[in-house]
Amino acid sequence: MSTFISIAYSILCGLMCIGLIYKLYKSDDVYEQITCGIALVPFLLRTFQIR
Amino acid sequence: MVDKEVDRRRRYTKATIVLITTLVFTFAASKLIMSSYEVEPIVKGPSVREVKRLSHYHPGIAGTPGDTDVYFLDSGTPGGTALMLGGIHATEVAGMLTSVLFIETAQVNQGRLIIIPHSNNSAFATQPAEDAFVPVFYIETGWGKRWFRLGDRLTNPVLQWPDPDAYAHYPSGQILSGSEVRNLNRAFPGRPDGLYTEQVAYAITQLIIEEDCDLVVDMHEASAMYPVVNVMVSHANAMDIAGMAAMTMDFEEGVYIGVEASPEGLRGLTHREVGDHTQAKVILMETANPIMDYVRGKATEELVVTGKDEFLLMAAERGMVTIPYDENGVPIEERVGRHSSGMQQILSIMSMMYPDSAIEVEGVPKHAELKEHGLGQFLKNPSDFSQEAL
Repeated sequence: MSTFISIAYSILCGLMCIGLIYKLYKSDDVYEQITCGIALVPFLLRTFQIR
Repeated sequence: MVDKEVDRRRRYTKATIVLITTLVFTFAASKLIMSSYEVEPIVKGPSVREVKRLSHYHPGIAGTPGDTDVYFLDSGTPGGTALMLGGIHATEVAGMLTSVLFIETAQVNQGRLIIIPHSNNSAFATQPAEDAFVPVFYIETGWGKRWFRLGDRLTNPVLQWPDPDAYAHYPSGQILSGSEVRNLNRAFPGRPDGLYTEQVAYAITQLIIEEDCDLVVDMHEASAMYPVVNVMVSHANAMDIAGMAAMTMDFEEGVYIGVEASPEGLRGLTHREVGDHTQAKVILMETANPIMDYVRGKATEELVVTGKDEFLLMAAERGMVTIPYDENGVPIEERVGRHSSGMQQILSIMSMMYPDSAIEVEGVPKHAELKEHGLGQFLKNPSDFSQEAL
C-alpha cells in the first residue's frame, strides 16, 4: 500500500512539473518564470524519488 | 508581427535560462541529499566472521535506509552470545564509535559478539530540526582524519511522517508525546506490521530471539544536565551483572559508574521491553554528551569530539550539571572509554557468574588506554583495506 501511495505521489509531482514548465514557457513575466523555476525544484526531486 | 516573434523568442530564451538554472540546482540538491545516506566505512576486524543485514530478521525493512549491517564476531568456541547496540539514537555518537572500535579491534576467544553500530540507520541520514548540527565529524588518527556521521535522535521523517499528537506505545498503550513515535528506544519490542520505527525495533527483537542472545548492551549518551548519566540502567534480570561490573570498574579502573533499575512503568525502552519479551539480560549504558545540552553554544564538530562548551561550564559552576565538568570538557575518549570498559567488565562478570554463557574478548582498549593514546590511535585506515574487508 505504501509503495502504491509513493508511486502515485511521484506521478502527481511529475504532472506538477509538466504544469510548471508549461507555465514557465507561457508566461510573459520574468518574475513569474523565476517563481516557476524555484517551485519546480522540490517537485522534480520528488518525481525522481530523491528524498 | 515581427515584434510578436521577437517577444516570443525573448520569452523562450528567459524560460530556457530559468529552466537550466533550475536543473542545475536540482542536480546539486540531489547530490547533497543522496550523500546523506552514505555510511562511513568500517574495517572488519580479526574476529568478524559474517556480516548480515538487519532485514534478514524482518524482510519488511529490506531495501530501505533503515536496513543496516549486523557484524558477527565469532570465536568458534562454545559460549554465550552478546549483542551490542550502538546508534539507536544517532546523536549519541559514543555508542556508535564504541561499536566500531569493537568491530575493528576485538579478538573474541570464546562465544559470540554481535554488533550493530547504526541501529537506527535512517536517523544518521538526517539532522534534528532547528539544532544546526554538523552532518559529519572527524576523529584525528595517526594516519589522518576519519569521518563519521552525526544524525538525529529520531527516525528520518521521510520514512515515517507525520507525527501524531500523542504516541501510544505498542503493546502497553502508554501515551508519550507525538514525536516519540519516531524514537527507536520507545518502540520496543516493535511489531512487523507497525510504523517504520516499530518495524526496525521488531527486526532487532527478532535478531535477539533467533540468535539466542544471552545479553544485550545498549549504548547511549545524554545531556550533562540530565540526572541519568554515567550510569548503567539494568533490567531486573541483569541487575547482578550490572552491579558487579560497576563495582569492578570503580575498583579496578577508578572509573565511577552508577547503577539504576529499569522502571517498570517506562515502556518501549530496550532495558525494559527486551528483558520482558526475550530471553536476554539487558543493560543500557549512558555517558554525557554536551552537544545534547540545551544551554550549549554552537553545535560544532569540535564540540562533538572535545565536549568543551563555555555555557555548559557556566552551568556547571552554578551546580546545574550532574557530572564533574570543568574546562577539559567530556572528550570522546572519556565517553567511548566508559562504554568500552563498561562493556568489557559486563562480559567478564557475566562469564564469571554464568560460565555456560561465557564470552571472552581481548584486544579492545579500555578507558585508561583511550584517555592516554586517544581514540584515533586504535581506529583503522579504511583506505589500507580492500573492498571485501570493509
